[in-house]
Amino acid sequence: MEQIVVTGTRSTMSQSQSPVSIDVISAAQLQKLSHGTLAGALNYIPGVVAKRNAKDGYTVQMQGFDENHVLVLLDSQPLISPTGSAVDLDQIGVVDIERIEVLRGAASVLYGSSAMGGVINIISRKVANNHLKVKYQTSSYTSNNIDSADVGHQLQLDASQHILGWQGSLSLQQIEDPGFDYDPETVSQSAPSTDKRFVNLRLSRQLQDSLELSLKARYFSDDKQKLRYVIPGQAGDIRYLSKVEQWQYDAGLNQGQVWRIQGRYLSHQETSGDSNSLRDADITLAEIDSQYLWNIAELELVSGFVLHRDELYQVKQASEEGALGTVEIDDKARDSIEGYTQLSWQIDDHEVLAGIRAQHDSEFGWHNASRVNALFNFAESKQQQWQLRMGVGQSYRVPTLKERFYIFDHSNLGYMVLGNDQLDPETAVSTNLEVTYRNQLTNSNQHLSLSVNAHYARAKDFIETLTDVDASAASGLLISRYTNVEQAVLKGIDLSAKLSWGKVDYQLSYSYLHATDHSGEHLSERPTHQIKANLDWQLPFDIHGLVYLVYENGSYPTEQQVGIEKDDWSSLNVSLSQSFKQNWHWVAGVDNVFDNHQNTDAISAGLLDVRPLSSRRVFAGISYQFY
Amino acid sequence: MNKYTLPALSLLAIMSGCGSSSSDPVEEIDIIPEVEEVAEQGVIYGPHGTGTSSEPKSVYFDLETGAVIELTDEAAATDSQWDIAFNRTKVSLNTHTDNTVGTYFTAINSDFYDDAGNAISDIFLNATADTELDDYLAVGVIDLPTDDAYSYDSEEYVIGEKFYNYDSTTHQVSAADDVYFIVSSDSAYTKFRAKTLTTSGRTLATITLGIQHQSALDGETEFAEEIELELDAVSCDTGIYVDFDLAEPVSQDDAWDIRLPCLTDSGVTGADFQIFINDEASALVDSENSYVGVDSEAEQYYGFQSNLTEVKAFSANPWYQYNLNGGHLLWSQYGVYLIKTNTATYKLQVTSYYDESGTSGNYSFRFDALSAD
Repeated sequence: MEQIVVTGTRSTMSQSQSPVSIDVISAAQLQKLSHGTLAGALNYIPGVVAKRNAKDGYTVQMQGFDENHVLVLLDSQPLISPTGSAVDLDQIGVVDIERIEVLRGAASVLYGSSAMGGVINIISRKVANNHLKVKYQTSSYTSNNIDSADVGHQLQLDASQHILGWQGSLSLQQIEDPGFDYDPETVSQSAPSTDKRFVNLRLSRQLQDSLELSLKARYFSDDKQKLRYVIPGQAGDIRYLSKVEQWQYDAGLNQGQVWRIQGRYLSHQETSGDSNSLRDADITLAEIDSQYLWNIAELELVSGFVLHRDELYQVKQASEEGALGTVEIDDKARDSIEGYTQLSWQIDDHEVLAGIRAQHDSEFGWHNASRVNALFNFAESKQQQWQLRMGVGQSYRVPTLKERFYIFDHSNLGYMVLGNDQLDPETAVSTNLEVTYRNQLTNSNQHLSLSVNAHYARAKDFIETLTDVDASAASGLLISRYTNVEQAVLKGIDLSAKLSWGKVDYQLSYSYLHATDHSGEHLSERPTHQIKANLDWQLPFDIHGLVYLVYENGSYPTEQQVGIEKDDWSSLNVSLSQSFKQNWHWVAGVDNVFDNHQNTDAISAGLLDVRPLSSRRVFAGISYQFY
Repeated sequence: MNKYTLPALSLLAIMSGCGSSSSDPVEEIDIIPEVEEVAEQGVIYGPHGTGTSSEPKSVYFDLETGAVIELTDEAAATDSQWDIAFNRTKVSLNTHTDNTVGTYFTAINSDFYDDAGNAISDIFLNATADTELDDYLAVGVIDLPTDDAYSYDSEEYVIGEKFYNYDSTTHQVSAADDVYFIVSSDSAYTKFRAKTLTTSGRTLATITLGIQHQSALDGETEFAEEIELELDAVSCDTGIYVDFDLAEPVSQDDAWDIRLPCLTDSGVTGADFQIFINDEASALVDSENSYVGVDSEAEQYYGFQSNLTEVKAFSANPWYQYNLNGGHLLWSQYGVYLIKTNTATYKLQVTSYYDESGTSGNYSFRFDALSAD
């Protein structure tokens, strides 16, 4: 069935007719791929590189841009980014998600900062029949279990009900994961134990004149812990700890697709770090986003206005009880006013769109971006169709509050890292060219789709920490400061083939990336080659089988890494699921069948090992729908 | 824990019966053995906190009383009671004339390093205060070196007198033309050496410097060709001042980089045999003439020092190894230092840089007196 998407144009249209190429993960696929959160699930999408970061969170790279340059949205509005600009996908539950739209390439005109390598727009469920469903899933890391009896638990409750003209939805989710450890002989634990809780509440009501009011509240908590080291010379140990509480409130009013206004307030409190150097962070995001859509003959004009505010306070806890901590970011804020407009012109079967965005930021003044995209449809017959998508666009990322105002004081070890309030936005100009061929084969359930996408981007003013020579000389310390320095050229090609043949769906994709800095050196920690192969098979007895393989190679080490342990890795994942007796559904599978994972000794020795911090995981779950 | 128990002494029971009849009861006195306190070695003191990264503080410790002495840094500079001080990773010894404390490193734990001098992580990570106690206890009076083996905290000029050679046989002074100095000043680096010099009496009459300049501000990454600058000190008045940017002598009010003070001896005026750098500058000795330029971004790692530098005796044999497992932690190498104060010689072993919660800058150590002077 043709998917409906919104991310490419901010208006609803079918996936195949979007002038900007969009990949989609449906709710049903997500339930098969995920273990309660979006972590890892996006690895399914061609060209997306999933990464586990130093805080055991999950982020993605797209078209060679790292996680700070990929924008993650929930219902087209931004989320909190605890580490820099990158949203942790492991902090997003999957229960009330309708689909995920993945846009590869620049999209700052419609979505502003950080939409440089692509956009991941998580679309929450808005309309649902009355239902009540519970699900339980358990999992084990098999040979990497910390304790042989360790198992993970996941509990979901999903309910929706129409009452007195209101539609109410409630979802609860709890994930308990014991973590895993590669080497029981060492004190350090490979992956933390986690305890996550998600609560989502949504109320919506149709008012007169097709007005719709929606109210949402979302709560999330996360408690992570893992053993790191024995304290030198002491009996105790040092643990990595992370306690997060996040509240989100959304309110929206819309009249069909014609206009809408929606507001979001997000508050994120976090205490994290090693147990001997914990930090408290208090992050706030507030945004009002309004949009109006005009349709005049073949023209469609969408314009919007955004008010946005970020706040950040971070303090390193004092080592002595009762003492004041060391403020690292002193209650800083930034405000921006943004306006955008995009004109779409339908010419027969073809479509051309052009857009511009202007942003005034309280810190650095005006900034703008523009883009032009086009979709050309060439139908050879009713069954065969060629499409050409092309686009040129500017994108940017505004410096984060951390990059502007951070004071990281390790002067006892001879260094400090300082923010820089003179930073300018990072910018890029990107082009994308995609050719797609679709063929409905001999009958209606046999489809072939082939696509080639070439992308090229020139980026400048990338923000990196650089030694401040004068400050270092004056202080006698190594002072590093965030600075606009790096330029980059990122180019590549994505090939994708999809074949639906009766009860089997095949998908094979290959991505090539060549990413270099101003001196021609390869950018680190990005795979040159990526292959993904998926097989979705409807077996007898209404059993669904899913097999997907990810292979990456050709990453380059960072300047700090002293050599290469392994620069390629692969992961094979299989699952089976079945619905039975109308109300029951079960799923079972194995992730990372061959247990490919990084060598922590090599990582400690400063070597590049691209294999993820991962483990074979066996899982099984069952759900029951009451009505 | 090992204990050294000295022989217990007993008191004799005294029976007294003077002037009493046989019917008097005999006064009985309980025999009370008097036991001298057990002298236990290896007791760990601490942890003693040395503040935070952003607000470090010094802990001044008196080995004789085994206690911290609360002193401000200013008061400690004139106090003779404390013996050893800790300030984050830095260990200082008292230099007061009434208590000039010296140290000698026994290097009993040389097995913590391989032949190339690299730390052996496994040994460091598995060592604890308990496993290293025996090595500590094994150090005794027999290990005391001669007095001249002890090192003391001192101060030295980064260039000072290092630019010349003195022949104690002929009492002749000559330029040490193979010793190079690199001065960092005014966003520039200058490598220089004394190529020739002449004397007049006990003063320096002339000196010819070889100067190689590198302006980091102009993007230069290597030193330029050496040029010569001859300085005449015979008419020295307020001092000889040199600006390396101009490669010429200047007045003391100008932006000078190095200075030679004046010296008048037996009616002869010239320059003293000292070269000082500006307070705003820093310098290092390139004794191997190994640098062709300075990477300004890595200046921190070259070891540039100010004109007058404290030389800590402990720095010759640091007590710690840093970042062995990627956790930015410091491990003691459990070496035993002999600490010679004005009253006794002690052995000392640092056991931890952390308190029980893992907070850094908290010293724990064991020490015991070896002999009373």
